[in-house]
Amino acid sequence: MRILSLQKSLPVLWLCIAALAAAQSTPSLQDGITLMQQGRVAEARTIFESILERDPENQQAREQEVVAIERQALEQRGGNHMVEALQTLMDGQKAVPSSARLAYDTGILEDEMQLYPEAARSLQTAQQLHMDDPMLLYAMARVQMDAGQLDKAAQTMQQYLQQRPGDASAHFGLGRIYQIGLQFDKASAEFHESIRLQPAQSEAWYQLGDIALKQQQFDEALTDFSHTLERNPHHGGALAGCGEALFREKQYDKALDFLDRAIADAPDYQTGHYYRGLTLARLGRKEESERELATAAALADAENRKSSTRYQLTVPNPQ
Amino acid sequence: MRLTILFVSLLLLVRSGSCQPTQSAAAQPALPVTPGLFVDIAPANGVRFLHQAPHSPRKYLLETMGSGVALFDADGDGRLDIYFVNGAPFGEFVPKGTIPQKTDPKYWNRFYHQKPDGSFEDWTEKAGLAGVGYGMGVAVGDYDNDGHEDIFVTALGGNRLYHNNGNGTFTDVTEKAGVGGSGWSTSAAWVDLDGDGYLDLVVLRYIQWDWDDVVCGSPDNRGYCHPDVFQPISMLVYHNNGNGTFTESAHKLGLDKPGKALGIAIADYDRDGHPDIFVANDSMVEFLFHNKGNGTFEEEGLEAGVAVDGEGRTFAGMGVDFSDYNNDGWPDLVIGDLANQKYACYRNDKDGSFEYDSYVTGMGGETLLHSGWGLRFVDYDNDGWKDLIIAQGHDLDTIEKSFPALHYREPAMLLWNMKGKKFVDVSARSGEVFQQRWVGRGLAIGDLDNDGRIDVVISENGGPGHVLMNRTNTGNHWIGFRLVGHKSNRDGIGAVIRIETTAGPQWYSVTTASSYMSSSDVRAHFGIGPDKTVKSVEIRWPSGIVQHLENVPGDRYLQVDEPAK
Repeated sequence: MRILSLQKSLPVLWLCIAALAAAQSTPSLQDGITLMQQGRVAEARTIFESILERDPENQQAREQEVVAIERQALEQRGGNHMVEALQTLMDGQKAVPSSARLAYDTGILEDEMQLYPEAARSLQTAQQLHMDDPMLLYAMARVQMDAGQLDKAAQTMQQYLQQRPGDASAHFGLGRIYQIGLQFDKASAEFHESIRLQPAQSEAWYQLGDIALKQQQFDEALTDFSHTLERNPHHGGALAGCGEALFREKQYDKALDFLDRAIADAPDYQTGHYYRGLTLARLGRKEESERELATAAALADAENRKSSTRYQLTVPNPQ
Repeated sequence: MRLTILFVSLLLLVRSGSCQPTQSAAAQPALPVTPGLFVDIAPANGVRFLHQAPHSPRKYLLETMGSGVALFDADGDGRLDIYFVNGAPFGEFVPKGTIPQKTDPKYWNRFYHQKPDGSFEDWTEKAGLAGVGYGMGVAVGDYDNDGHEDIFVTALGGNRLYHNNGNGTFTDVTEKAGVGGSGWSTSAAWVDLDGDGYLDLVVLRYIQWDWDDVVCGSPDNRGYCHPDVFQPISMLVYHNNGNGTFTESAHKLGLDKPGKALGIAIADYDRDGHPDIFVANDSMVEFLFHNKGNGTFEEEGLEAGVAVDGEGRTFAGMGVDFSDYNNDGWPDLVIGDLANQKYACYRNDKDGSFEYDSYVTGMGGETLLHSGWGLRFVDYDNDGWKDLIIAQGHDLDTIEKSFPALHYREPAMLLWNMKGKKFVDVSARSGEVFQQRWVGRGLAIGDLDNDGRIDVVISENGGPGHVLMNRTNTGNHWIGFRLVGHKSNRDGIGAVIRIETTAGPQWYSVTTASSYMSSSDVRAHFGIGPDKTVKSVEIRWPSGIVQHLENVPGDRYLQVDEPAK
């Protein structure tokens, strides 16, 4: 009878012991945070997710989980593992389904991966989840710009600027949208506004120089590029721009000087190689010119591949 | 750190040229613009061509690239006829070496003879022009100087030369002529390269391709591969032996540089009296072959500034025209390419080099979101300035999935030339046909009804042929020339005609080539504005003979025979 009783009570006992042990070893939120601080993000996520499993409304755990997911995705992205990073964010959205931030991050990563319709959808999700951050508008503008919806992109960026009119980078961004659309007057106005708001910058001057160059206003281009070079003497684009402007004004010796510097500072910038090749030809240095133009052509092909809307080989499947 | 920060920095780092699409934005001109008026009369007038291009799940590149169209007077009745090139069927899995065959009349190339009332009748079978294989391009020229236009048709796996019998029928003389070729041929051009009075034949080839089953894109969004996936290949150049046979001479002439060639145009860009060749390559440097005058050529595209765009980038060169759009006497270039690349406009700098003028002419802004194939300069309103018409449509039938602002089907585009300085998009005001979305590929120009207003024929990939009659409301006058060479080739191809009106001079290089896989009316056409008479005409024949005419009445086509000296 006693034996029987013991036999019956043993499982109960074991259950009690297991429960006690579990209670004692259940990691806390703080444990997860500590692991995060140690860089052990995956382990930290396990803890946050276990907490959320038990208590889905635990706000702190949700926030920490989102931070962990973001960090993990960033690390993967930093290692150029884009698909893995995207998977992390998408899994994360399942773990924290109402996180606007994760939807936002997903949208940004998708944009970077040229998955524009997907990126737009993700950012729309963030908006539906009431993400209260003007940066969402900024991100949407970027996606629209990348997808070639430039009118929409400009409108969205203008909405952002209504909330943050003093954001020099946003004026720069709006300028870029106009510039890509070849609306040079509007682009110039935005770049000048960006410079007014943040005088200590070189990039808006560079874009102004680029616009002047495209319109064959070479003196103006040289002035704009010189502003860039005042702040950043090694700006490959501005150096090449000066070289191109001088080449077009048939000042080949001076052009070559700038183009030599451009290539030294930006060895992979194909425009610099191209105009250096043309300049060398005009200076009668045929062999050097041919070499330089060959380099330019190779770089141009690579750039074409990168920026093309057409598809690259994914699975070779020879018959 | 959040991804946001990264995004902002990325935006700041974006450089011109590494970015994505855009939209039209050119400023409206101060001058009054003359819109065109074009009306598609094809189906109602007997032209019921429907191009066949199977689009398979394997996305064989072949299926999205064709085909071309020709406008020429086949039977010498003074009215232009139309010839459409057609595809052929193939299955989902195609073994290497396969040459698709035209198993059904719906795959035939189609020849439409124009009747006196302006309607067309299908003479394909009667003329013997149904063709074989998977057709691509067409080039028209009188290679044997017998006064009848002959037809060369390019295709995958072998081309065909049809000799015009002079009675509306043709004979396939490919074997005897030795111009069958091999590989995937695209555009072709007739031109007398060595000045011997016979037209030689330049045949472009696209890539080394043989039904390779390569997967590009993603498994759920497979698409046509970027040309980088394939190796380039040399063109074929057939020297006309003058006895009905040809000798392939690309290597001997220095024209065997491997490319990914789709479009060809001929002009004497340095005015040295020898025809030069421009080849539009897809996604690699473009070629400009300079005729050295000693029977050989040198490729000078990079040095001349036409191999890449203004920033030194390559683009997907497809259709091309090589003609003087700013009336300065020097042939300029325009090249169609894919969306986001801007059609390339190069102004001849008169020193052997060119300026990239896509931005300053406004053409860049007008074309940035479009993909241009067949294109020709054409003075549709006879104001004395060559305008530009372009057949459009992306090559990827899935493009909208990735880029919602880009389109597989696009309306054709008409750009009005504002005195050689700007091009203004007048499509929206130039007829309903410019609202209709087509998968534009081939384009040929010519005056179908001989009313002095140049008409246009456009072929689609997997769609109907379109015959766009020019009904532009203009009181401007015009003049046309049909050259008849005697020492030179009979078509006068390569001749340069200069006319002088009260508005100044204009130039035209006689050719049937240019555009994309297509062949246009060999007659030269000039709009002469309010003038009823042309003050002077100068014709520089390929033979070197220079001919002068004075006070030539306009509003007519004038046949001009080459003088003895």
